[in-house]
Amino acid sequence: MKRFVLIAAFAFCTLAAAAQTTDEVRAVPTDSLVRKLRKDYGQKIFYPADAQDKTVLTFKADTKDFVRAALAELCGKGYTICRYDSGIYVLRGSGLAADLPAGYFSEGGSARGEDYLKFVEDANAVASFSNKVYEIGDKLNPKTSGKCYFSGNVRNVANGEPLPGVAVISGGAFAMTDSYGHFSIALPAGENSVSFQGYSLDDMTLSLMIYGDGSLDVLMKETVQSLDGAIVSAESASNHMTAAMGVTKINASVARTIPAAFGEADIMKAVLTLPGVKTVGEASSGFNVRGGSSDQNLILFNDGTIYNPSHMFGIMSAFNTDVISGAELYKSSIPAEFGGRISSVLDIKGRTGSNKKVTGSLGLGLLTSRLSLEGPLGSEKTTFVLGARTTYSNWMLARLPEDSGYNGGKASFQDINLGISHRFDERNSIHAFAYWSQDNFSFSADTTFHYSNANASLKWRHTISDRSSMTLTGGYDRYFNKLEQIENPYNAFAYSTLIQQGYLKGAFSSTLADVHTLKYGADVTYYNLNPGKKDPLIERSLVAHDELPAERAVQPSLYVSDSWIPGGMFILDGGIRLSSFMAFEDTPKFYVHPEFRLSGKFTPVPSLSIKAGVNTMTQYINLISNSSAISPMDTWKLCSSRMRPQTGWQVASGIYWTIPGGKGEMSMEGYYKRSYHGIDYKSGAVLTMNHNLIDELVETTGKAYGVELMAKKSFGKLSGWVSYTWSRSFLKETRDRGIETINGGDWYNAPHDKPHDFKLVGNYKFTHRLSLSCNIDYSTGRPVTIPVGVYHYGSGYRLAYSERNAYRIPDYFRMDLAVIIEPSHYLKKLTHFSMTFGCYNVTGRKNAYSVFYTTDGGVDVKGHMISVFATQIPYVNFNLKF
Amino acid sequence: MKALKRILLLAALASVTACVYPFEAEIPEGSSSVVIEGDIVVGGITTANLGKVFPIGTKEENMTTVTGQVWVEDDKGFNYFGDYDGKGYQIDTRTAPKDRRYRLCVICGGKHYFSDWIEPQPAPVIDGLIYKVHPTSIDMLLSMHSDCGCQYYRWTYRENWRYHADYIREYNYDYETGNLIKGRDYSTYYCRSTVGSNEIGLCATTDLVSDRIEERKFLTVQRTSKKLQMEYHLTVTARCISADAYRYLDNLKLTSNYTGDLFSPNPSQMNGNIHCEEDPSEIVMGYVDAGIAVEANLDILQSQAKLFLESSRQNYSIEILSEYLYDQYYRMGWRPIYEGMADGEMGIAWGPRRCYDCTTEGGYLE
Repeated sequence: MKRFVLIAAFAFCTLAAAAQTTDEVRAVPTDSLVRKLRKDYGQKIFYPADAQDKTVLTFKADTKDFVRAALAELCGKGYTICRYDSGIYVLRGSGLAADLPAGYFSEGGSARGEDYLKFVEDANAVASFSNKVYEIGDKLNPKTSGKCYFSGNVRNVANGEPLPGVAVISGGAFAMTDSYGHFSIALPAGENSVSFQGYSLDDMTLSLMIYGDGSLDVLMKETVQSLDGAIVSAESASNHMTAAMGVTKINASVARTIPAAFGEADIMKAVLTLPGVKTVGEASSGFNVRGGSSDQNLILFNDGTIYNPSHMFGIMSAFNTDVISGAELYKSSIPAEFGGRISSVLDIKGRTGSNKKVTGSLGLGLLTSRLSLEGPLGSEKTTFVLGARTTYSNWMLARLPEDSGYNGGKASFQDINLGISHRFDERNSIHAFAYWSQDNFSFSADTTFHYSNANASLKWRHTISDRSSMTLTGGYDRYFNKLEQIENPYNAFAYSTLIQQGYLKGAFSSTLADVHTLKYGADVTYYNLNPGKKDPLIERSLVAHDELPAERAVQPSLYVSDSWIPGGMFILDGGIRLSSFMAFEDTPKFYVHPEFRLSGKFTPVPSLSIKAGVNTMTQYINLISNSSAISPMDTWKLCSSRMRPQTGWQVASGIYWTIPGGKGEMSMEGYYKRSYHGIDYKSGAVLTMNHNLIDELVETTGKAYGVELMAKKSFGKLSGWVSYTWSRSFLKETRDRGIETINGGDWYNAPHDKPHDFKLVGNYKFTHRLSLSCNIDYSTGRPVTIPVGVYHYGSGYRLAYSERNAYRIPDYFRMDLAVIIEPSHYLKKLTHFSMTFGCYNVTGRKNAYSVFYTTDGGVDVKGHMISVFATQIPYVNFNLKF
Repeated sequence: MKALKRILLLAALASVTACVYPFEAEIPEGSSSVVIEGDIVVGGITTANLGKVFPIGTKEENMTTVTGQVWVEDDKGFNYFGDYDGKGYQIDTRTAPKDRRYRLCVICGGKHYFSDWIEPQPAPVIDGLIYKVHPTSIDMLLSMHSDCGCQYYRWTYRENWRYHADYIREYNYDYETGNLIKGRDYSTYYCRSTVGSNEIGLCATTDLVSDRIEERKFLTVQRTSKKLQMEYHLTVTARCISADAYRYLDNLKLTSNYTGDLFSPNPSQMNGNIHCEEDPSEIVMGYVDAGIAVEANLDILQSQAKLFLESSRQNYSIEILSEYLYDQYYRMGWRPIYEGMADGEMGIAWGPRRCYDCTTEGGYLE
C-alpha cells in the first residue's frame, strides 16, 4: 500500500460581483488582495498566508480587467501564478507540484520521510504542500463510478502525534479521526475537495483526484492562536454529520483555559462545565450526568477504568492534562462498544508523544508542580510520553499557625503517567500505557487515609484494509484504599478495600457498501474485589482480623453497530450490545442483557439538524456509599444472586443549529430516563465490613428528565459557551417495607437533583499574548435531609429528621476569572513560557457544601453550613515548554 | 517574598478548610411525634419518660412534658405500673424475673403505644473505671466485658463533686444595724454539684477478638475544673443492649452530632420499636430495650491525688468599700470577705456573690 505524506493549506472560495467600473488598492498586503479577489471578483484563489510576507501592492484597473491586473502585479512581486482545475494558486517560489518528492515511497522511505518532515517544518514548505492536488488510487485503473475509500492518519506536523477528533468533511460525506488519528471516508471517484477541521488546528482543505481506494496521511498545523478557535473540537461538523447526540469532546487545551481551583488545569472540571453534568459539591470526586448517580458513569483512561478520579478528596482530578489529548463524554448516544454503566461514559485518551525530538513541559503552581517529557525512543517509530505530578501541601500545612487547627495535618498526592507507542509499519502499531496515582491525607493525628489507582494497558492497532481496522486491547486496573485509625490503642485498626480487574477488548471497524460503517467486537472483564479487610494496627489492639469474602465475576460482551447513511439528509445509527455477567458464588449466578442503541438524524438544511435516539444500558457493579460525595473509603460491590444488575433506558431528542458563517452554534436537547434496580440505603445502614451488606440496601427505581440549552461561539476574540439546563431526578423505593419504606414509597428527590443549572465559560483574547477567561456556575441547591424537630432523649437533645431529601441547601453560585499570558509565540524559540493568574470564587461567596445540625453533646441545637471554598482563592501558575 | 508566602499559606489553608458557618434554615413546623423513652431495668427501677418532638429552635422552657399512663408488661401477663414523680415515671421492676420477655406500654393522648417484646440482656462485668492524667486534663477510661456473649454496651454516667467558693466569708454585715460582725461563715462556701451524661455512651465488640472493652475513654475533665477541687465522684451505669438497640442509638448519636463532614453518611430518621396501636404508620421516637444494669464508682480526692490545678480566679473584683457604701453594695449582693489588702488599699474587703457563694457555679449547698 502506497503511503503519501503531505501538507496542505487552507483555501476558501466565495462568489461576489463587482459593480464599479474601476477598482483600486493602495498599499495592501497580499492576503488582503487575495481576499478582495475572492470576495469581490468571485475568484477561487489558493494563497497560503504567511506572516513573514511583507509584500504590499498598489494598483488601479478597470473592474473587468482587475483580476488579470492583480495577477500581473503579483507576478511582478515574485509570486508564481498557477492554474489547476478551476482554481488559481498564488505561490512563492517554484509553484504547484502534482507529485510528492521523488522516491518518497521507495525503500528506505523512512530516511526520506524524515527529510520530508524537516522540509515540512519550514514555513514556506508548509505553504507549498498545501497547494498540491493529491491523487488517490491507481491512476492507470481508474474507477469510473461508485465510491472509493479514502483513508489515512491525521498527525500534528510539529511532533508527528496522531490527532484524534478531527472532522473530515467532503460534501455530504463525513468522518472523524479516532483516538489514533485514523479516518476512512467514502468519496466519489474524480475530483474532490476534503476539509479537515480540528480544535486548535488550522483548517485545511485538500484537493484530491480520486481514482480508487487509497490512503493518505495528513499533517495539520496547530494554530498559533491557541486560545482562539473552537472550544469543543469539530463538534459543529459532528452535530450535522452524525446521528450521535449528547456527545461532547473536550480538548486538553480547552481545560487549560478554564479557571480552576489553584490554577491546576483539570479535564474533569472542564467536563463539569457542560450542560447536563452536575456535581454535589466543590470537593467532590464524582459527577452526575442527566440525573444519574456518580457510580453510573464509566470513567476510562486509556481504556482502563478509574474508580476514584480525584486527588485531595475531590479538589483536583487524577488526570494530568499535560499527557492527555482530550476527553469525550457520552451522555446519550453511548456507542455499543461501551457498556457497564447506565448513565454516561467519559473516555479520556492519553497522548502518544512527539516522534521528532524530545520535548517537555514544566508547571509550577501554588499547591502542585508537574513535569512531562515526550519524544522519540531511538527512532521516530517509537515514542514516549512521561508525566508526573506532586504536591507540596504537606510542606505548607506544616507552616500553618498552630491555632489554625490544621498544623500537623497532611494531604499529599502523586501521579505518574507513562505511554510508549511503536509503529511497526503502516498497518501495525502498539501502544502501552501505565498510570499510577496515590493520595494520603490526615487532618487529625489518629486517622490517616490512603488511596491509589494503578492502570496498565497494551493495545495493538492493525489496519486490515482501507475499509477496515482492528484494535486489540488488554489491561489491568487496580484501586486500593486504606484507613488507619489509632484513637484508642486497644481499638486501633487498618481497614482496606481492593478492586482488581483485567480485561481484553477486540474492536473492529469496517465500511460496507459505501453507506454503512460497521463496528463490532467483543470484550471481557474479570473482576476480583476485596470489599473489605480489617486488621489490628498495633500489637495492643484488640481488633480482630476480619475479611469480607472476595467477590469474583466475569463480564463478557459482544456488540455490533452500524451507521447507515441512506441519503444526504438522513443518518441512522443502530447497535446492539449483548452484555452478560457471571458472578462466581457458591452457585454461580449468570445474567445476560441485550442493550440497544438507536439514533437518527435529519438535516433539512445544512445548518439545521434534528436528532432523536434511544438506548438501554446495564450495570453490574455498584458503588456502596451513603455520603454525598465519593469518599476514598467507599467500596464497590458486584452484582450477585441477591443484587440484580442496574438497568436503564433513555430517550432523547435534540435540535442543532449552526449560525450561518459558522460563528456560533445553538442546540437544545431533551431527555427522559428510567432506571431500575438502583440502590439506596436503609436508615442507619452500616456499609463497611458488613457481612450482610445486602440487608442494608434497598432497591430503587429512578426517573429523570430535562432540557439542555446551549449556545456556543467558537471563533473570534470572544469564544466560549453558555448553557442552561432544567432537569429533575427522582428515586422511589421499589419494595413496600411498611413504615420503613423510604418516604412512604413515594418518589423522592435524588441526592443530585438540581433543577436549574446555568453555566458560562468564556474566553476573550485581547491579543495573541493576553486573554481573559471567565467561568460562571449557578445551580439550585441539592436536596438534603435535615432536622425538622428536636426532642429530649437519653439526657440530651436529639434531632428528628425530615423525609429523605425533602429540603435543599442554598443555591450555588461561583465566578472564576483567569488571565493567561503567553509572552512568546515564536515557533523557533527553544522554550515557551506562559503564566496564568486567576482567582477562584471571585465573589467570595460562601457556597454551602452541606448543612447540618448538631446538639453539641446533647445540650444545644445548632445549625451549621460547610463551605469548602468560602473565600476568594487567588492563584498563579507558571508553565514552561521546552 | 512575605506576600508570596502569605498567598501560599492562604491557598493551603483554603485547600484544607471545609469552613463551617452558622446556618439557620426556614423549616416549617412538622408533626409533633410522640417520644417514649424507658429502658426496662430487670431487677431494678425502670425510669420512663414521655415527650414529643418540638420545632427546631424551641426554647427549653417551652418544651412541655407529656403525661399519660406507663407500665411494663411481661409475657406472662404481669404488669408493673409506674408512678409519675414530676420528672418521669418510676416503675418498680426489681422483682421482674430475668427469664421473661417484656414490653413497655403507654397510653398517651388517647392512643396506645407498645414496644416490641424484648428479651432482657445479661449484665456486663465492669473491669475497671480508671483515669489517665494528662498535663491539663484527665481522661476517664472504662473497661468491661461480658461473660454471656454480649457484644453491645451502653453506659451512662453521673458526676458528683464537692467544691468550694473562692473565699470564706470572715465577716458578716448586719444590714439592720450596719455593723460588721467578725466570724467565719461556711454556709455558702462548700457545695456539691451533680451532672449526668448528655451523650449516649455506646460501644460494640463485634470487631474485636473478645467481647471486652479496654480503657474506652468516655469523659475528659480539665484539671482546672472545680470538679477536681476537693472530691470527685463518678458513677458509671452500664448495660448490655441488643444489636437493634445499638443500631438505633448509634444512628441517633451520629445524626445528632456527627453529620456534615465531607464524607459523612447522609442522615436519615430511623424508626424504633415502639408502635401506635391505633395508627401503625405513626412515627414514634424512641427505642425500648431491657437488661440488667451494673454500676462502678470512681472517687478522686484532691488531698491525695493532687490533680486540681489552680487557675486564675473568676473575673470579679474585690474592693475596699467606704462605710457609706456598705448598704448599697449589700443590696447588690456583696458581702464583706476579709480584712486586709485589696486593690492597693487596706480595709474590709467586699466581694460580689460569685466570690463567696458556691451555688453561683451551679451547685447546691451541702
